Amino acid sequence: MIEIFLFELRYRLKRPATWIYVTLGFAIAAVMAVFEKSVTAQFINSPNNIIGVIGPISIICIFFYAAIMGVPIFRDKDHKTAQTYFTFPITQKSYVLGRFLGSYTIVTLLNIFIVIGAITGFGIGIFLDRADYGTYTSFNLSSYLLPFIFLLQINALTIGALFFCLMAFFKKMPIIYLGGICLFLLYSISGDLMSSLDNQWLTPYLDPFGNRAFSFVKKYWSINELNSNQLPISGSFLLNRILWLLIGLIFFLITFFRFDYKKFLLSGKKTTSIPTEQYTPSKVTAVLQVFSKKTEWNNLLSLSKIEFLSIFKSPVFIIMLIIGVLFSIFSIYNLNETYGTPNLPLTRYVVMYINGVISFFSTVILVIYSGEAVHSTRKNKTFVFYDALPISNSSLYFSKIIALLGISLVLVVSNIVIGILFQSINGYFEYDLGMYFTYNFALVFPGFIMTILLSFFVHVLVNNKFLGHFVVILIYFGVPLLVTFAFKSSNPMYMFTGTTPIFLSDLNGFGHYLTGISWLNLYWILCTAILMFIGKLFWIRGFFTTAKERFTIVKQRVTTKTILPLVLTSIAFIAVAGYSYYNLKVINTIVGGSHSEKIAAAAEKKYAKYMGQPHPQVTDLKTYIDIFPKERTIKAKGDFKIINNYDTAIDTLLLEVQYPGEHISLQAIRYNGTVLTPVVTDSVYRMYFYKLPDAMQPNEQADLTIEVLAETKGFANSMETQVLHNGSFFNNNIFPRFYYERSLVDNGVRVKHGLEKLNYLFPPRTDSTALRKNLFNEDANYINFEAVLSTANDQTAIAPGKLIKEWQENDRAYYHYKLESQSDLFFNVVSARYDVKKSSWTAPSGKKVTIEIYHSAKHKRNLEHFIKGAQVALDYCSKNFYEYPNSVLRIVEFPAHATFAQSFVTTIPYSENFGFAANFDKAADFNYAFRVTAHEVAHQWWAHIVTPSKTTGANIISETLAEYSSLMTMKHEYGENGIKSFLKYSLDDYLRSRAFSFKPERSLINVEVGPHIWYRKGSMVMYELQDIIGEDKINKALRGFLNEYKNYEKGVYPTSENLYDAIYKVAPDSLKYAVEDGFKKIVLYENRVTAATTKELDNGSYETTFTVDSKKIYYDDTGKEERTDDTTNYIEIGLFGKDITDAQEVPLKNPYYLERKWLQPGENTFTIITDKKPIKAGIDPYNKLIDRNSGDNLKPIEEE
Amino acid sequence: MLTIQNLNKTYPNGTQALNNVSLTLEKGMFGLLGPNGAGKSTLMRTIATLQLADSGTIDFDGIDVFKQPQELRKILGYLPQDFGVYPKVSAEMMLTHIAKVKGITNSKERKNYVADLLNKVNLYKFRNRNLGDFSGGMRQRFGIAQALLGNPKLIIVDEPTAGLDPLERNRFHNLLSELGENAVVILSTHIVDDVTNLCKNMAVFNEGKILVQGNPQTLSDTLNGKVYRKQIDIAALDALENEYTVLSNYLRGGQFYVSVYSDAHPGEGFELIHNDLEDFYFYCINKKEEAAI
Repeated sequence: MIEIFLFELRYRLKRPATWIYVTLGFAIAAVMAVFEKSVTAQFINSPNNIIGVIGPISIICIFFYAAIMGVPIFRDKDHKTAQTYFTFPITQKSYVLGRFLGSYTIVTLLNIFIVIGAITGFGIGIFLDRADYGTYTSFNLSSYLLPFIFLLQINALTIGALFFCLMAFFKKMPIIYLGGICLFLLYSISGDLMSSLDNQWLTPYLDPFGNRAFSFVKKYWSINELNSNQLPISGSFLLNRILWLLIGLIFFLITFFRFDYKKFLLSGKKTTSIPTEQYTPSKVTAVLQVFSKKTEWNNLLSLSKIEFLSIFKSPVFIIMLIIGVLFSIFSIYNLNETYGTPNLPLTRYVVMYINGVISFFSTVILVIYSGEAVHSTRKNKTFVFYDALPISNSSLYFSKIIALLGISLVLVVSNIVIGILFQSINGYFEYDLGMYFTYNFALVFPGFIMTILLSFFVHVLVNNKFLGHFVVILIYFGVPLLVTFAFKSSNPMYMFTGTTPIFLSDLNGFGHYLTGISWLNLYWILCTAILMFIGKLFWIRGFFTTAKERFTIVKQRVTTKTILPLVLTSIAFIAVAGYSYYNLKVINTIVGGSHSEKIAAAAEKKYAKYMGQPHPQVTDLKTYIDIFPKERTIKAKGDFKIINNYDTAIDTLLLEVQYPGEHISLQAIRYNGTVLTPVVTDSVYRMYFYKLPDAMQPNEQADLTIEVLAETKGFANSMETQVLHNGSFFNNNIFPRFYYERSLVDNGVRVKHGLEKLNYLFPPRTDSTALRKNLFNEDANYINFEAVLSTANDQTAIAPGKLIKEWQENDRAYYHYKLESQSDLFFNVVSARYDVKKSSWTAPSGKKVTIEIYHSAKHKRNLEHFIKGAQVALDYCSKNFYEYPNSVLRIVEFPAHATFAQSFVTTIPYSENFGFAANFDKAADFNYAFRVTAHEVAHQWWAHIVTPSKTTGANIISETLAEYSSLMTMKHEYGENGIKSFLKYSLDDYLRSRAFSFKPERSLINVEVGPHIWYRKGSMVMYELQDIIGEDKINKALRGFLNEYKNYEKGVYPTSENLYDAIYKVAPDSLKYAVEDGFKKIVLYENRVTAATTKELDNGSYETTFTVDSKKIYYDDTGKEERTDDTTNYIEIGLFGKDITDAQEVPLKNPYYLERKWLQPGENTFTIITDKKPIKAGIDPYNKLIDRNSGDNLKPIEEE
Repeated sequence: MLTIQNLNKTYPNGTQALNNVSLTLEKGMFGLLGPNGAGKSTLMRTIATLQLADSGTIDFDGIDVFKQPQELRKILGYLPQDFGVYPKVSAEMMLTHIAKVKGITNSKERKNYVADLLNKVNLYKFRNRNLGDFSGGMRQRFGIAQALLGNPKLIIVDEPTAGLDPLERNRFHNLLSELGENAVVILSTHIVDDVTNLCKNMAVFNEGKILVQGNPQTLSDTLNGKVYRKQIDIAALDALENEYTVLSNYLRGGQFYVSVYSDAHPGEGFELIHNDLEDFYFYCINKKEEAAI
C-alpha cells in the first residue's frame, strides 16, 4: 500500500500538470486577495473576507479536484497499464487506498498553496496605497487555518471521493463532468433558496461546499461580528460539514469495498445481435466519377453532416445540454419573481432568464467542441485515411465550422423550445414569437458564431487541446478583465463578444438598441472571420512535423483564391470597426468609472467654494417640452420666475447641467429678456457661469428662460433611457440647476482623490441654513407649475398637474397640465402609447379625485390592485392627516430599464417590471402592487406636502412615514395577520443589510444612506409603536406634525428630531422607552420560549405554564454590544392553536390567548388557562420586535 | 506510371526515413518489403499526399504529387496501417459520403455501388452499425472498402491484412489482385508470403533505402544453391554468426536450425535447402548490416 501511495506521490510530483494546478491555485488566491475590497467598516482581511476568498476558490477547484482525484484509476485504464498492473501481487484494497491517499496528499498540497496565496495576496494588498479599498487588520493564523481545514480540506475529500468513486465504477470522463455539474447545481440551488425566507433552512443541507452554509449562519451578523468572529465550528455550519464529510466518506468506502478490478477491466461493449440478411449484388461495374464545383459543395454538406452528428450524438454533449435545460428551467422558476411573488412568464423574462443560464452551458459546449472539431479526427487517426481523399482543403476546414454552427443552431433553438414549453406549462399562451426569434437570432446566435470562430482558430493555431482551451478562456475572460482593470475601459470593441447594452420591454420592445448591437455583432463576426480565413492557411492536412514544413504549406496556400476572401473580410472589418468606433467614441463618449470619479473630484476642488452660496430660487415654472420619440430628441423651454431669497445680492448665475444624456446643449438663456452668454464654461463637468446684467437684490424677482435641446446621436455604449421610441421618462434635470453639490460620498474614494472625509453627508439638524433647504432640490421652495407637452401623435405625454387642454397640431399631440397645489421643483415627463384605465375616489369633503392608470395594452391584468392601493391610501391619508390637495392621481408605466416606482406630485411613474407583470393569483403572496402603490401615494403627503429639510436623518419623514402609511392601509385591508409576511420580509432585510452599511449603521433618527434603515427598520419601529401606543395617537401626532410643517408655511423644513418629538409627546411615560429605542438606538431583542407545558383541568379547560426568556441588547454603530437592558419591556406573549386558513387559504395564526406583559430581563413564567388546548406558546409571536432568531419565539407545548 | 525520384526525408529527431529513394512502377501489384521502422509508412504517406518530402519528386501519370495533390487524391485508394473512424457514424453513411467525395454523383448508382462494396468486404449486414462499435477486423475491412472505392488508379495499402482472419485475408487478396490488373498497387508489408503470392514486382526497403527491386521469383532465384541449413545447439549460435552469414534462425519440431548464406558449401552438417523469398529478404537486410559494419 505504502509503495502504491509513494508511487502515486512521486508520479504526481514529477508531472508538470500538478505544478500547473498548484501555481494556478496560488495565483488565483493571491489575485483575489489583492483585489478584495471593503466599502464598509469591515476590514479587508476580516475573517469573513478571508473565507470569502478561500471559499469560492474551493468551488473553482472542482476542476483541479477532478483532474487530480478523478484520474488515477482512469489513468491505469487509459494508459493500458491496468492489464499488467492488476496482475502484480497487490490487493485491491491497498491499490484503492494507495491511489486515493496519494491523490489526496497532492490535493492537500494544492490547498496549502491556495492558503499561502491568500496570505500573500492580503499581504501585498497592505503595501499598496489604496485608500478606496478600505483598511486592514492584523494577521491572524486561525482566520486562514479554519477555512483551510473546514472548507478546502473537507471539500477536497468529499468532491475527490465522489470523483474517485464515479471513475472507479463508470470509467468515463463524462460521468465526472456530470458529477461536477450536479455539485454545482446543488450549490446554486442552495444559494437560490437563501433568498426565500420559507425554504432557507434547507441551505445548510444542500450546499456541498460549505460556503452557503456559512452565509446562512452569518446572515444577520453585524460588521463587528464579521470582523471578529472566526468560522463558526458549530451549529448549521458544523452540521453541513459533518453531513458532507460523511457523504464523502461513504463514497470512499463504497469504492474501497466494492471496487473490483476484474469488472473494471471488462469493457462495457454490448453484444448486439448480428442480423443475417442475404445480399444480392447489383453488379455495378463501372461508376461515373465527376469532380466539379457542385460535387465539392455536396462533399462539404455531406462532411458537415458527419461532423455535426459526431458532436450531436456524443454523450457529453447530450448530458451537458440536458443539464443546461434542467438548470435553466430551475433557475427561471426560481428567479422570475419580485419580493417572493412570481412574475408572469412573459416572453421577455423567459428569454432572458433561460438564456442567462443556458448561454453559459452553450459557451462551454461550443468551446469544448470547437477544440474537439479540430483535434478529434487527429486524435482518433481518422485523418490518416480521410485526408488522402479527394476532398478540398476548404471542405475539410469549413465542414467543421458548419457543423459547429449547426450545433449552435441546436442550442439556440433549444432556447426557444424550452421557453415556449415553460410558458405553456405555466398556462401562459401569449407567446411573443417575434421576440423569441429576434432575441435568439440577433442577440444570442452572433455571440455563438464569434465563440466558435475564435476557439476554432485558436485550436488550429495552437494545435494542443488543453493549451488551446486555456488560451480561449484567457481571451474570453482575461482580456475583458484586463481592459476593465488595467485600461479602465468599458468599450465593447475591446471586450470579446461585447456589444452595446439593451433591455427588453413590453412597451419599448427592442427599442433602438438593435442598431448598435448589430453593428458590434458584425464587427466581432468579421473580426473572427478574418481569423477563420487565416486559420484555413494553417489547417493541418496529413502529417506535418516541423514548423518549417507547416510554414511551407502556408506559403503554398497563399493564392489569390485564398487571400481574396481574407482581404475582402479585412476591408469590411476595418470599415465596420471604423463606423462603430466613430459612433461609440467620436460622436458619443465612453467614460470609465474611475475617470468620472476624477472629474467629480476635480470639480469639487474647483467648485466647493460655491456650496451654500446664495443663488436664485424658482417660484413659478411654466415649461414647454417637445418630445420626438422617433428621433429620440427633446426640445425644452422653461419660463422660470426666480427670486433672491438671501440677504445678499446675487451677481452670478451658475448653471450645472444634470441631464444624464451627453448631447444636451443650452440653446438660450434669457434673464429678464436679456440673452446671457457664459463667462466661464466648463464643458467637462458641464458647469456654466453667467454674469447677470444687474445684481439680483434680496427679495428681487426676475424672469429667466432656459431653452435646451437634448439629442441622441448614432449608437452609444449606454442605454440612453430618457427618450425611447415608446416609453420616454425623464425629470426636472432636463433643466440645469443653479447650485453646485458634491457628488463623491465614499470616504475611500474621497481620500484617494485628496478630498476630506465626510462623516455625515448632510448638515446637522442644528444648522439653521440647512433647515431652509429642502432635501430634494435647493433651487426652489414650493412653486406653481405648468407644463405644455407635445409628442408623437400616437403617444400620450404626461406631466404633473391637471390636464387643462389637449389638442393636435402639425400632426403632433399637445397636452397642457397645470398643478392645482404647490410643489417642490420636482417633476417628471413621460410619453408612450398608453391604454388608460380610469377610476375615482371621493374625499370626505365630497371632492372627487380621478385615478388614472396609464399602461401598456399588454398589461391589463393587475390594474385593480393599483387602483385599490391608490384609493385606500388616498382615503387613509386624507382622513388621518390632510385632504389630498389635487383632483387627479396618475400611475404611469415606464419601460423596464429599472425596477422602481417614484412619486411626483399627482403622478407616479411605475416600472413595467414592478407589479404590471406580476402574478398575484396566490393570495398568500405579497401583493406589492397594492402596497407599493399605497407607499407612493402616501408620498403625496410625506415628501410633497411635508418636505424634509436637508439635514441628517430627515429622509425618514419621507420614507419611513410613507412606509408607515402603507403598512396601516395594509393592516386595514388584510388584517394584522396579513401584514406578517411583509414584516417578516422587513425584519430579514434589515438584519441582513446591516453588515453592508455603507457608513456606520446609524440609528433611525440619524440615517442618511440606508434603505434597510429608513424602509425596513422604520416600518418595524413604526408598526411596534402604533401597536403599543395606539394607531390613533400616532396619527394624531403625525397630523399635528404635518400641519406644523406643511408647504413650507413655517419657513423651515422639518427634521427627524421634529418627527421624533411629535411621537415622543403622545407616548405615555411608561412607553417612551420604545420611542427612544426605535429612533435613537440600535436595539436587538433576544426573545425565546424556554419551556411550555399544559394540562387539562377538571372542567375541560387547559392550564398552560410557560417560561419566556427576554433580553434586549443595545449596540453601537459598528455592531459592538454596548449593554444589556436591565429594565422591563412591554412585550406580547400568547398561546396558539393549530394554524387556520382564511377564505383565500392563507395560513393564519390562531391565538387562544394574546396579551402584552411587562417582562423582566431574563426568565418570566406565566400560567394561563384557556378553553381549548393550545399547541404553541410564544413571546412576541408576530415578530414585531427586531430579533435575530425569530424562529425560537414560538415553542410547541408539551402535555403533562 | 508512378515515378519517384531522389526522395529524401529527415525527421526533426534525426531519423532519415527516406534516403534518396527512386522507384518506377507500372500497372500491377508491387510489394514493398521491409522491417518495422524501415520508413515504409513514410514512403506510403508521402505518395498518398499526406506528407511532404525534403526533396525529390513523385509523378503519377503526369500528376506532380507535391504540386497537384488534389489531382492525385481523385485516383488514389489508400489504406493506412493504423487509422481511426468517426465513431458515431454508420459504415454505410460513411462509405456513401466517401463515394460522394470520390465523385460518384448519381445517387442511385452510388447506393448500389456502396452496397456492393460493403458486400465485397463482408460488412453488408453491419452497414447500419456505428463505426465506433466495430471490432478491429471489421474496421480493417471498412478501411479496405474505402480504399477500393471509386476504381482508383493508384492503390496504396499499408499492412492491410493485420487483424484479418485467414478467410478474410484470402478474400482481400483476391480483391486486390483483381484491381491490380488495371492499377498500380503498392502493398507494403513485412509478411513475405503475401508478396510471393501476389506481386510481380517488389522491392526490399530498409533504413530509408531501396535495397533491391525486381520480380520476387527472379530475386529469390539469385540465391539458388547458396542457402544452407544446419541443426545446431542454441548455445553455438554466437560462434556460428561470427563465422557465417546467418540469414535466420528458427525452431522447427523443437529443433533449432540456422540458415546461412554461402557461395560455397559451408562445411559439415550443413545441407543445401530449397531457398525462397524469405531467405532473399533476410539476405538483403543482413548484407546491408554488414556493409554498415
